[in-house]
Amino acid sequence: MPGILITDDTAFMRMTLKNILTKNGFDIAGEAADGNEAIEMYKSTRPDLVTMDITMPNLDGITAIKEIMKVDPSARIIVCSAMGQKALVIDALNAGARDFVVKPFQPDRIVDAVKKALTA
Amino acid sequence: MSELAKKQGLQVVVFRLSNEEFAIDIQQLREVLKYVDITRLPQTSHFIEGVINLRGDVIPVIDLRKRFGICEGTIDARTRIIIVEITDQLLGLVVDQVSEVLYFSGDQIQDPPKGIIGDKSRFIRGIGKKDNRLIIILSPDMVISSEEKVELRELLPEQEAVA
Amino acid sequence: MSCGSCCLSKRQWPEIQLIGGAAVDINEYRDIFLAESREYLQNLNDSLLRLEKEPENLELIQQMFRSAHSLKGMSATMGYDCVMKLTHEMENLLQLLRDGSLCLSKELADVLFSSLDALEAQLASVENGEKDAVSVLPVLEKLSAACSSAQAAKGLPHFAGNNGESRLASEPFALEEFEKVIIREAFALGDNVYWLEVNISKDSLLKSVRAYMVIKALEEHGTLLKVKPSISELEEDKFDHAFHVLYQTAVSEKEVVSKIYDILEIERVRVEKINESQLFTAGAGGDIVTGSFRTIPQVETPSSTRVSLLDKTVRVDTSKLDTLINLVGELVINRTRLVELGRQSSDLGIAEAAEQLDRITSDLQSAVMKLRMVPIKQVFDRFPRMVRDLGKDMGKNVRLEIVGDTTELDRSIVNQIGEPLVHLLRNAVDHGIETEEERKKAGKSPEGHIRLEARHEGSYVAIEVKDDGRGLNEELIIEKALRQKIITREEAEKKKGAAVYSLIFENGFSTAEEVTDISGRGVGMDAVKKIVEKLNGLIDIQSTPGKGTNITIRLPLTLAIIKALLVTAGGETYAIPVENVSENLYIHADDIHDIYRQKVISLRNEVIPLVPLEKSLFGRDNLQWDCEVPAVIVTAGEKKAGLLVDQLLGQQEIVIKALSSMLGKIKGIAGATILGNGRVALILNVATLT
Repeated sequence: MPGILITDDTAFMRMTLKNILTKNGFDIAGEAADGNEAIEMYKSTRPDLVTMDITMPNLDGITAIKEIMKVDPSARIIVCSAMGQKALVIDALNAGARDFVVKPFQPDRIVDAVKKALTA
Repeated sequence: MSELAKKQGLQVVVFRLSNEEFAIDIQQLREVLKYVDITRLPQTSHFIEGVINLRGDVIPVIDLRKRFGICEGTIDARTRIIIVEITDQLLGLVVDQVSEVLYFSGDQIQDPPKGIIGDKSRFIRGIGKKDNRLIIILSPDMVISSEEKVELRELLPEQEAVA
Repeated sequence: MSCGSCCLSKRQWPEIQLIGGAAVDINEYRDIFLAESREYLQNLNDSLLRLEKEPENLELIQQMFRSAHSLKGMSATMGYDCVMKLTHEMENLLQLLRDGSLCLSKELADVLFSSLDALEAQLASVENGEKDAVSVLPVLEKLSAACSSAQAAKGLPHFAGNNGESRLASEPFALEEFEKVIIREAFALGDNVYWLEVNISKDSLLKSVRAYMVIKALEEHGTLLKVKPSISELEEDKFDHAFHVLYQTAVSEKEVVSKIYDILEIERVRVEKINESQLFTAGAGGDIVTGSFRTIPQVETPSSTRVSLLDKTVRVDTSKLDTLINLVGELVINRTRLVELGRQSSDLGIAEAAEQLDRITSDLQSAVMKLRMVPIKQVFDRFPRMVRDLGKDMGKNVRLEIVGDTTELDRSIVNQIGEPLVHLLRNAVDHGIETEEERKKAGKSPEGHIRLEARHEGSYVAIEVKDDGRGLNEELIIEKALRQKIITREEAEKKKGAAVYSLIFENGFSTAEEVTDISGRGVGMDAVKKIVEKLNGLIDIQSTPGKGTNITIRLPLTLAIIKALLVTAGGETYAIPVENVSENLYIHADDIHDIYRQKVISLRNEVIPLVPLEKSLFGRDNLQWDCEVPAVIVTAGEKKAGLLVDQLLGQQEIVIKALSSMLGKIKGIAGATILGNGRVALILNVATLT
């Protein structure tokens, strides 16, 4: 079972997310540190869901979402944003993200968002 | 001697140096080794015999005879190295013979004697008395941490020193 | 979340909720948070230093913005309020730099530098377990003052507050005439028209985006006839958790509601079906639906690379690493023992297996040793900032050039070498580099130059601190050494050049007399030398008056396993690190000369003093002088000597074991190792052997 692909440029955030998700019974398909990695890993692992940070080096999250949607128009992507990134979140949603969560992460929010995105 | 030891008593390992009987608290004992070759260390106190390999750790060894100014004895089949633990570090003590494990009840332990020539009571945790035997319970940490010269007779209880 | 020491009362902070304590244990993350935060902080420092020189470099601002942003996210997650606020303000300021509202002035750079210092202090207090202990208020105020002044100049409100002109959405609809026409047309088509009230959860962090998601979902299945507050107001957060939509759709009321509830953080949806008669009860005037949210152009430039080794690495607790190294050390010792047994055995199979094990162990050992190696960049990275600040404080114009910061060294060495280097660099700025006027007078460029270089030299790493300052003054050094009674007048007369310069490393040379804020401070160059020697390293000094000073520290690549020459003397085996061995030879008694009661030999026109090892260590001279004596020519820095021994046993790799701290430091001995036969052999410290 493929599980969830976590994308964030900070190892800390990846770990936080991973812990929250695994503690709630989700499988982790992989971890990507930038948009390019996310695209590559999406192609190779075909995860059920992607969590996508917006601000990342090399390739930002929004571009990555667009690319992933080209590969798989049914891709389920949740954007992870910081406060004050409203416009970027909207861009991400327009690019195809299903939902968004705001950092700092609240475990139940994330779990809700993931569950919802997976069942939709 | 701590109040606790006086109440609960103390289990010790008894060893010999020359003709005297000494002991250390069994809590401080890690193991007893047969005598092994000791690598000499330069420019250290005369009583530091050197270092040995204890399963990959290099630990210093003190010759208690030299430490207490007893004339050098011979190394024979009964010579032992007692490994004691002092604040997380290991230290070896060369003794002539390890004889037994003894239990002293609280009332069998006396405080170190005071008022003898140059107070060396710091080296002693107490004096154990049992069946007409007087056994000096050593405080091993002082043995290495202090450079102070100490003679065997200074450690002995007064009555014995007189006798 | 309270933070008494650092709250800005005049400002409303976005409401944040901590990770639920039950779900996530903060301490679990603290180490990685700290490690990663420090990387970002270093990045910010580096970028800011460069930005000072290239204020137009948007790439750098972008990079800083991203680092600050990541730090903000991480610290908010951890509940480190002060770090979060600091980075939030920095982000604001960087945003202004990015969009050109501000230019990086010297003052602004100082504000940013001081906020980086505050960040560092915050991280330190996090490390010490004191959350939000240090006040960041002054720095926050400076940052926000810098922001406000720029925004005032631009005529912008400082903070786009979300509590400004929010309108309650419970007013009745007001429709324009043409809207009524549209609604009638909808009825004519058989569509339903609903009046929706959507309440977004109070703790939603981006409620405007939630509103946008609702609107987007509705648009998929129908037409939004009217949104109140207007979409642009929703976008700007000018609403109070609830908004209204007049919605035309073919789908049922139930479906509409479930579509909205599919979106997270929707607290409540109320629906009322509109009939034609209701339409005309409302008054006139009001907002007109004007299309969708405007799309804000993306400002990210996704090309720069963060200078980081984070990706594709695993963080491992160093104690685990050390355990591994120790185990490999044990393996190496046993390997040696087995190989010896293999050689003695007549069984070829055993000998062969022992040899194979020997090879594999060697490979394993070098692989494990590489795990301990880290680039010296870790230490060098903080120096540009330090030299900048020092130079600024002293009114000197100094440029620090760093070369070879990717050179790798054992991590335990890297951890300890920082302090000596700080001292050398401080000295270079304080005593070495002249003021701009002095430099001009001396015909030098006004900008002082310090070069910090790391490079490999065999199994050593050399670290060189070279300045183009005034150089050392031989006479002053001698005068001072005499005054401090470090040397006698006779000794002074014999000394020249490097021998004089090395006096500054002597204990007690640096004294309170020259305590400036920068150098001095009681710790002198003797402390530098002590640390270097503790690391089995060497220190050399060269200087040319008027041209500059050059101090080179040479350190072994690794501390744990070294190649050594084994010798015997007085019945004991000793290990001499091969770095210190220049050659072995047998000296014939006839070749030994006496000069001033010192036995010497002449080797290729060089006079080398001879030191019987046993005598040097134990004061006993047991050497037979009437035959050939094996000798090892050892070097330590510029010093050379011939150690006379009983036997030369050959080279071997040995694992260094520290001597018990109960023994204190022993002159001439660097440590111990365990030989193949299980015995302990002492490792000589040639530099301190006399």
